[in-house]
Amino acid sequence: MVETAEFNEQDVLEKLKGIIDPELEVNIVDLGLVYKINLNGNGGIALDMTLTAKGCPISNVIKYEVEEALKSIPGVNDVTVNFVWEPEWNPSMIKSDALKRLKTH
Amino acid sequence: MNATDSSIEISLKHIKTALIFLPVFFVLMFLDSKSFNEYFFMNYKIIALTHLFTLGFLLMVIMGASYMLLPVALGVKIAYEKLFFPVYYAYVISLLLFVIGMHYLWGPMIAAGGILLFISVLVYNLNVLLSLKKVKKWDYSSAGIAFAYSYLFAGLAIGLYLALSFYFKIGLNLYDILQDHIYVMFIGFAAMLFIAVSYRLLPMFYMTKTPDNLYWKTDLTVINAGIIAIIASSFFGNGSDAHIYLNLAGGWLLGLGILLYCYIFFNLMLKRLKKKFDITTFYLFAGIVFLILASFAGLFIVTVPQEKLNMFGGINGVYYVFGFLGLFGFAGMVIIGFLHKIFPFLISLKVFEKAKKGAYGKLFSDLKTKYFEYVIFALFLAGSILWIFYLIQLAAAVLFAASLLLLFHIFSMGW
Repeated sequence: MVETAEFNEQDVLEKLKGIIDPELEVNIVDLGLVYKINLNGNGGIALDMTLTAKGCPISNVIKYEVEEALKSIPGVNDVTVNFVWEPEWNPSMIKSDALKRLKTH
Repeated sequence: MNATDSSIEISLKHIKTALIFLPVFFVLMFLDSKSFNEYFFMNYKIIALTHLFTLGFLLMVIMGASYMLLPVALGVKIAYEKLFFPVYYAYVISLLLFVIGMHYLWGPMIAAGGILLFISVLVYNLNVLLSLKKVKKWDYSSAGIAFAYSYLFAGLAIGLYLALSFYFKIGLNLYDILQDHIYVMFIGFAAMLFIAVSYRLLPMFYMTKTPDNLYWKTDLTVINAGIIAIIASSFFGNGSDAHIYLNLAGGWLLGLGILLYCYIFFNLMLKRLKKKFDITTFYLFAGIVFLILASFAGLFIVTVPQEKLNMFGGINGVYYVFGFLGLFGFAGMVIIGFLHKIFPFLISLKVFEKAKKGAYGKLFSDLKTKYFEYVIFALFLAGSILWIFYLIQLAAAVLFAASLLLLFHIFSMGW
């Protein structure tokens, strides 16, 4: 796990868990949408993430929410969110607990 | 591909206009319900009423939603965004001219409205077809959408011919051409478009699998063959063997193609990962059940000789029930169902464009199914069932109430 003086990757993941996909009602981490977190050690976060559909109409809204959530972590001064499409997201990337919840609720 | 400002604005404008046309349609149906007992399809008041629904509601929502959904479904931008607003205004004006002209059977107004409608929808149609040129990966959705919009062009051309025939008194067998117009517009365009878009939206909303290659390709082939056979039948004399057999073959192919789609739909939805039911699921399942009933009614019509249809409440009754099941029972219900998904997204994007903050929260609150929405759904369902039993005035009253409640509900999310 990469650590900086004030926050680490786990803090970032915890914050991102607060962002729920409005359709599936599962957070973006458990959905497997977060691919890579880069911490530069100077308060900067670069995030590679994807969306469940390439043409998702609310990609701007999600990006804004992610940026706002990460900026609220003490010590973060720069956030870059990159949408990537390789590998293409598919339901097998959902974490097993979240998948169970989807199937039973 | 992100939704742009103008695509959000124009989508909302179309949907709001369509939601105003819907109660107007039902109130006119209520007032004019006797026409359904007295006249057949070629009655001008019924043609006016049908177009108020098909063009004022169905096509209006399809046009609006397509500006937002096609970029999502196909990953391409609509070719000419500057055409959105002129097409919208031309379409609304020409639709009013056409419907009023038809209601009062005033030839020049029908012809003028028909020509303007043809031009405005043609521009929209070409705009979509040009956008399809940029599609990189052709699959079930893009192929179906391309066919659907090609049929829209064919259906429009037939519609224009019919509109002009009211003014220029062109001979020919208008009944056969009217049948071509109905099948091409309803199955070729509306049903084909729904099928294609659903293959993209169902995995997105409910995490279904994508359709099996063999099934969707067979389905597309069977439906296309059916439409071609129906159109080909009208080139032969009414009553000739070629006409009868092509019509029969076309009707059966369409019926079987639609039933195969219903099977694919249930197969996908019953195995979906997201098991939770929402209001859209209810509308979708009800719509597909009505589509199955419409398919059987259609098969019944093409198979049973016309003189024997009289035994089942008269030819008019069977045709009207078939038409209503297909147009409102299926297309109307499915579109209303998807509106519960599409509209909150559009409103959220509009909020986001203006203030960013708050858009995400509002989307959650608008997407959450409310008790009130089930009441509206129950009314639409009850109205549709009453229609099947030919209690048209009562059905129209119930459907009017439902459409008015839907209008208030959707508008309450944001203007």
